[in-house]
Amino acid sequence: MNQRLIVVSLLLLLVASYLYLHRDMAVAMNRPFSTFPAQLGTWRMSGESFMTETVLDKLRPTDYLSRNYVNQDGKRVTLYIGYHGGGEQSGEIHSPKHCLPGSGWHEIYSGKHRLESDGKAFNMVKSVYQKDDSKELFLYWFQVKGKTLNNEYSLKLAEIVNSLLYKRRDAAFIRISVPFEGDEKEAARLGEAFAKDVCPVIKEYLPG
Amino acid sequence: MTVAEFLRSYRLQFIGVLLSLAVLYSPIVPSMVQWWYQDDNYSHGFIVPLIAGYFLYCRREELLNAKVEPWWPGLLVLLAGLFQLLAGWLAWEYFTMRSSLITVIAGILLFVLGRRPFLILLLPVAYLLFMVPIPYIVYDAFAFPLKMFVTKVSVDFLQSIGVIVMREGNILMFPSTTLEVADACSGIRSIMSLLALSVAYGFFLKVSPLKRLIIALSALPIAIVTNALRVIITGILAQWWGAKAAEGFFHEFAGLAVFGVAIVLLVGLGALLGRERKES
Repeated sequence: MNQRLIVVSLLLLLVASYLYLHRDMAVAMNRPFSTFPAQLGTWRMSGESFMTETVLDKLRPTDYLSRNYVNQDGKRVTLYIGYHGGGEQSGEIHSPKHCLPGSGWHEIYSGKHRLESDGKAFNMVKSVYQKDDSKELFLYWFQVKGKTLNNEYSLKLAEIVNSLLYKRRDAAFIRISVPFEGDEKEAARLGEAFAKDVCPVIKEYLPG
Repeated sequence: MTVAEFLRSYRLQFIGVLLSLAVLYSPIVPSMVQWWYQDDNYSHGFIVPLIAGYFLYCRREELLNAKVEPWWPGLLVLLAGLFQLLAGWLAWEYFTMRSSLITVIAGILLFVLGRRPFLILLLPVAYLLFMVPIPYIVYDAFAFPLKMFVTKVSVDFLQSIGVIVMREGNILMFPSTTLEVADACSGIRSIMSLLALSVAYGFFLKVSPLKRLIIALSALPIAIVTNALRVIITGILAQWWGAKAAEGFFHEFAGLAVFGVAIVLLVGLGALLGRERKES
């Protein structure tokens, strides 16, 4: 008998049994995005786009929403929400920090931002990216169990903690983008106004 | 007691450890193998375990005759490896999960067999790291600047030999057509595969450790130079033939040809370094 070999086997099997027992459950949304309102305050939906099979295969969101909204002046913002419910079939959230540069957008600036809506504070990232001549302002954040997070590390940490304590790994990624030519301040104002209107609605759709 | 005697005496328990290891990594390794198959950047994953196995085979005599002297701190390495696996599992971070296999194996070897057998097995075990796909965050961080660099160098060269071409980001604009330097042409794909090969090649050559290191690291400049060459040749052909030069069969063929040239350069460097040694 070699005790060391036995100890090693037992340790390996112990960890293996934890891996087998600890599976994250898929968490359903409160309501599907297909029922997301077409009218949000003064914003009206002006178009909706769908991802191709290839993109869906890679991203594997549980549900997603990609829409354009316009205000009374005809100014356009784009809203993307990807919900990843955890579990076997669900993919990972891809942060724009890595996705945008990968598709030719380069970052002009990016910083943390806080926004008040409905008496609550929302954490988000405010950034401007440029591709060739077109510039776009992005407001984005991650939403986990009702909390808004504005960096990839706290997202990862929240996922680890939720997995450890609640066996769930659901998280959502929300991105508001405003294309603009010259006036960045105006773009930021539009984006933030839209965020204020949409934040409380998003909360109703995502699990708390 | 030598490793050979140890394996004979405790054969069943040793098989038990192997089986436990297989059970532990059964949720992790198959998805990695699938990744090698799906992702062109990691096709070399399939040959890495074979090369590691060959390294092991080369040193089998030495290993079997080495003395078994269990080293208890190995248990800490094993525990660290298991912790790495659990952390990766909870964070759903593939690289951490997958590379923990190497830490776990190292821990087991140190704990059960001791430092001497571990050192003999260090190369084959460490070599397995090449089979683990690096996180895409890291990959992109290198791929993008590399792509820009390759494009810039190629365009400078093309302009200096009189080809009419403009560059915008990683897009090459010719009077007749535009070409994009894609990820595949940035050299990063070749770097991963070439690095895996150059380390193996360096090991097989009977040269000094410094020269081995040079051969292993030469993968980087070789990959960059050959990929710039690919962009330059495609650019010259694009001027004559138009867009056909950069599409379909030719593009695939160019990729293989470039890899072939890279290997020729690698072998050439090895021969050069090996020859100098004989003379001295």
